[in-house]
Amino acid sequence: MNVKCNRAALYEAVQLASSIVPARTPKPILQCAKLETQKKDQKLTVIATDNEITLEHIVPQVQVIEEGATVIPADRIAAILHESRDETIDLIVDEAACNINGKDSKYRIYGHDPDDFPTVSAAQEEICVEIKAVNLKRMIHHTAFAAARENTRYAINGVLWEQEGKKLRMVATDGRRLAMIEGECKAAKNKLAENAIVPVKAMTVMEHILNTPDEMVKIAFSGNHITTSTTLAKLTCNLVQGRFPKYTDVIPSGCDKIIQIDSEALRSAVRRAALLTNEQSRGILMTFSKDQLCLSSSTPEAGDAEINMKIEYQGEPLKIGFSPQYILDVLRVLEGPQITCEFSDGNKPGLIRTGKDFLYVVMPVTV
Amino acid sequence: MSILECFGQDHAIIRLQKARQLSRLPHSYIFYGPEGVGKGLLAGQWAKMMLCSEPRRRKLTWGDSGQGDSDGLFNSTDSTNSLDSTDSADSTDSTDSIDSMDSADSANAVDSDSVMIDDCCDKCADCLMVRAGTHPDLHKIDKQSVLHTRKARSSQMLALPIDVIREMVIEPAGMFPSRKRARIFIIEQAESMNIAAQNALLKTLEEPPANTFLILVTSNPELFLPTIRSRCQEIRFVSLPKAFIYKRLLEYGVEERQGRFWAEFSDGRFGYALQLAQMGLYDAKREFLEQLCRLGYDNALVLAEWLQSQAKEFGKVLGEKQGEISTSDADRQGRLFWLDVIVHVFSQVMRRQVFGVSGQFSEPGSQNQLGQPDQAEQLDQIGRRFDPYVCSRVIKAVTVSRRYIFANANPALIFESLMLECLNCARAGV
Repeated sequence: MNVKCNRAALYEAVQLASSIVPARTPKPILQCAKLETQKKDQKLTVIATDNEITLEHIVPQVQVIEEGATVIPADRIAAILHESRDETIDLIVDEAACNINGKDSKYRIYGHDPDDFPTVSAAQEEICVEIKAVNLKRMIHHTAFAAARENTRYAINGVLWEQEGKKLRMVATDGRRLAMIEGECKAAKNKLAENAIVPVKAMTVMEHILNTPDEMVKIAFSGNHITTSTTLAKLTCNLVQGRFPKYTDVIPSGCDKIIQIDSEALRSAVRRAALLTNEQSRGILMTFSKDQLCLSSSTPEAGDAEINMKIEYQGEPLKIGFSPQYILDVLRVLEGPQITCEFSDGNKPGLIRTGKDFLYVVMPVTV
Repeated sequence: MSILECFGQDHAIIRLQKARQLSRLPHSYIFYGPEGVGKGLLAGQWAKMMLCSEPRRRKLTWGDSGQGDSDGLFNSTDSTNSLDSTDSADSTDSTDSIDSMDSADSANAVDSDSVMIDDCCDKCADCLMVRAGTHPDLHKIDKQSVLHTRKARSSQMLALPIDVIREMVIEPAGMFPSRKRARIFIIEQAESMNIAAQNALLKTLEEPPANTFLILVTSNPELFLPTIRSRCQEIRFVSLPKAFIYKRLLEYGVEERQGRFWAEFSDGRFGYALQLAQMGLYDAKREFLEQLCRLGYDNALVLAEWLQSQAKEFGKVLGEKQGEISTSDADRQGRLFWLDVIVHVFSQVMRRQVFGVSGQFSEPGSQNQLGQPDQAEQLDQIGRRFDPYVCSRVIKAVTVSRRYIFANANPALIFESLMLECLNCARAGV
């Protein structure tokens, strides 16, 4: 292999690759990135995998002199490219090693056999859905935080992606709260409905590759995998097995107490009220009365806290307890200045909405 | 490498193949049997076949010496270190019994000629990745895996903690296989899972997602919770014939006399025999036997200290060879090895007295006969002080010491009390 490329462009690709490679693994080759060139398309591709997620990133502005492939430690090459000040660098691969040559520098890195590098199934995927990068990024941001971690119910360790015609919906839950967001997409004609459960780690990586807001991202569902491709990057990821719980049953309907609250004020109030919670008494009590919301928490051995804030509320008084972390989680991702809270009763789930497309259900706790 | 590499385990192979051919493959297996007889090897090869894109049917035959392809058991063919000495002067007395083993070998090939088995093709991309250890759907877990968990704590690596099981088994088990065929977990030394880890695994063992298979490899299935055992099918692995071990050791470049000793010593555990032979422990063992002949109250503690330092040395060599093993674990294995040596010596002494000079229980020509034991003279000398009954008491004392080792008692005291116990037994016997 012999290729001349732009250092900054290669660095960007390698940096993304190193965000995937596992920090600790018994298989050293997984900590490597595979660099592959194709002369016909004048293409240099950086591939990294952790055996569940595979990222292929094309490096623009390259000049391929000779085809080939090499597998070298991702963090090493990232560090070399980071420190280098050269405009362009040459990658030359001989029998045993990869040479990285700059203007005044020469590196020789020993790699692994490219054939040993794990590859996921090479089957051709059919593009099912196209969606604007900025929308996809927003949807990921609004759901990924709510998914379960390390739950033995495998299915909720991921986020459900559901496509119905021109709508893409993402749902995440950990059994105590649920986040759901809908977005517009362009679907292929023969694809009416698809669904898949995507692991959270893959979605965080996906956020990083969606940097050009107006670009259309292609998504392909193919049984065991989901593939997301932008112009430069292609992310393939294993799906989570199992059946996602019927989330529609969880979303409460017929809430009669609807309250508009300023999200920044609520965030500050919840944080302050949460200061006196501990392992045993984790909840905070929200008491709604005429034009006032009182947040209180009490711990037998530590003491009590009470925060009052003004709201617009005319309905009947309501007392409901929540785990502050669940409220803070959602307030962190929302953009708008206002949220809408809907309740029906002190022991029924509460509902938070912003805009037309996002909703968040959270189970109350007894305080 | 192929399934045919797992010599001598016909029974296990046939059971696995039958289940596969009837498409009634259970999700979880326990492979159990002595250390070093090929459990891990067969688990690996079985996984390779399951992941192979074009498995081929072939006859179950053992070829000429029970080895399929040329790859070694542990991929380490550089076994000729320091064992090349050509001193085989006193080994001529037993060559006849070794020659007779060739014919015995073929007799052992059971009725397996008629059995067809599925085997990996060893050519496709999947097979290559399994061989390189990078297949995304094959997960091998052992005590050292704790180093690769997210919260990698510095641990003594004497047990398999729950973090490993959660992160490396339960979590990936919930994902679809990357290459669409199957996802296979092989847990080595599975008995070292602690109780929490075993309990965490129960749910996955009971109803794993489709196409997920677990193989627990252990030499001690009694240490599993009953709830684990009841969820798995158990497959027993048998000890290998000594003659086979002897031959394979020679192929690895082990010197003849040493090969005969380790084959005898290892009791049918080839992996163990090879490991010991490659660690160059033979001279230390000879020295031990000579010291044992002179055992008395005046030098018992000196010998105990010598044993202790040898066990440490064992640990050091093992650590260098295996790299990732923790020092505590390596030292523990060293102590266990020296206890094995003591048991072996006294059982040899006992046999020579009970069955006569040949010291063999089995009929002549059998596969387990390797001729005169090593250092027969010293054995006889010990035999004059230790009659069979006393030997049995010593062996009993060793089993107690073994328990102390697992309870992490002070190793120096273990050897000291054991040596004194030997002397006490000898005196009481007389």
